[in-house]
Amino acid sequence: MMIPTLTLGEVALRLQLQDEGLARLIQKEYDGFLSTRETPYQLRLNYTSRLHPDEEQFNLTAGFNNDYFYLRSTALICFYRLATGRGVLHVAPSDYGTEAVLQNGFRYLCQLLALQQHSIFFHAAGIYHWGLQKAFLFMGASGSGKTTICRLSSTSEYQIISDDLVLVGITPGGIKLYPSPFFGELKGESSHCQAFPVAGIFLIRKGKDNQITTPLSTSEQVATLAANLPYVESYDRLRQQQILSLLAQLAYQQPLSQLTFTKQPSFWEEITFFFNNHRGVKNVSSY
Amino acid sequence: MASFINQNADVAWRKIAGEAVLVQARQRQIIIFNEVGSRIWELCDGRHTLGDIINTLAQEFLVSRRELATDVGSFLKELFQRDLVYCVEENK
Repeated sequence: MMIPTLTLGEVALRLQLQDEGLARLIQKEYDGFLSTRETPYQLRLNYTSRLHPDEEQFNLTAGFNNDYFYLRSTALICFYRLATGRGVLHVAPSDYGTEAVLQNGFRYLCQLLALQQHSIFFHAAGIYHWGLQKAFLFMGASGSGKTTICRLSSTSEYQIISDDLVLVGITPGGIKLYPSPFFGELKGESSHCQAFPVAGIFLIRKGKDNQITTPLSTSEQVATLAANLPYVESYDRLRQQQILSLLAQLAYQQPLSQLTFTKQPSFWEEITFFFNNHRGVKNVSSY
Repeated sequence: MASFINQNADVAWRKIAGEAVLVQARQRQIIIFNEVGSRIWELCDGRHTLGDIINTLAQEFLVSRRELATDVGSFLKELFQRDLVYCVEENK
């Protein structure tokens, strides 16, 4: 049986699949995000009968226990050893579907692995502008308009990278957006082979006019960015500190702006004007 | 006996552009302190008492101890209420 590597940007997790059915499911659900890349990080997946007699609980409990990162719900148990980069994940039948249970687990695990690669997942919409050849990130609370922004950008001029969870790589050389197989309502056409240079990060809100402002201090930007991260509460202090460092680096390299937009595609004119005036990246400063 | 004030070990924080950004994950809260608040937070390192903190700030910000006492006291009271700091009783 082929041993695929779940690949998201610089994140790579080799999946050892014991079960044919599980292997087929992974091939179908993560098509475009499987590769043969070599990686020290490995996860053995097993299909098993019900794990707990407790009441069905979809939400995962995640945390650290000495050298292990663990995930558990009534349909999934995962132990991932941090020192060796190897783990095991047992998935059991669930009313929510094995796909959903597995994806929930992968979301947590990939966020953990992403941190080791100086990358962070954001609850955000990511869109690539073919004309500007740059990607833009749109974040905000639930209902702020991430899916609306994606729907308004569903033309050949743009590529929707994700409407829910995007992976952002943060290096001194630049900020890159990577597609992920984790979607909300709209499934993108992206794959792990793509990396998009980022030229704007926007906190969005619907309004009567299209307008971009930069009202936030750097510390406020970091706090706002942190508020749009998934699973922060699951991580220990060390990793939260690491996240804060990455967010500070992100805010210095690509300051967060506020985009007020009408429910019309014309907001892209404002973004194009912003891009042409700021050329996307502010001077990189030491901190 | 002296009461040394210490940061709660669960709180992740980083000073960014002179302001401390704190992540209190269990409470799902992110807190930003201004410059003075950030300095007070830094001084909550388990080696300073309330009196020490007031003395340090009085020197650094050229403000009288009397003026500072009330503000620092109420600020620290809020930190205690938010479970961001705790006291360690030790012989000084």
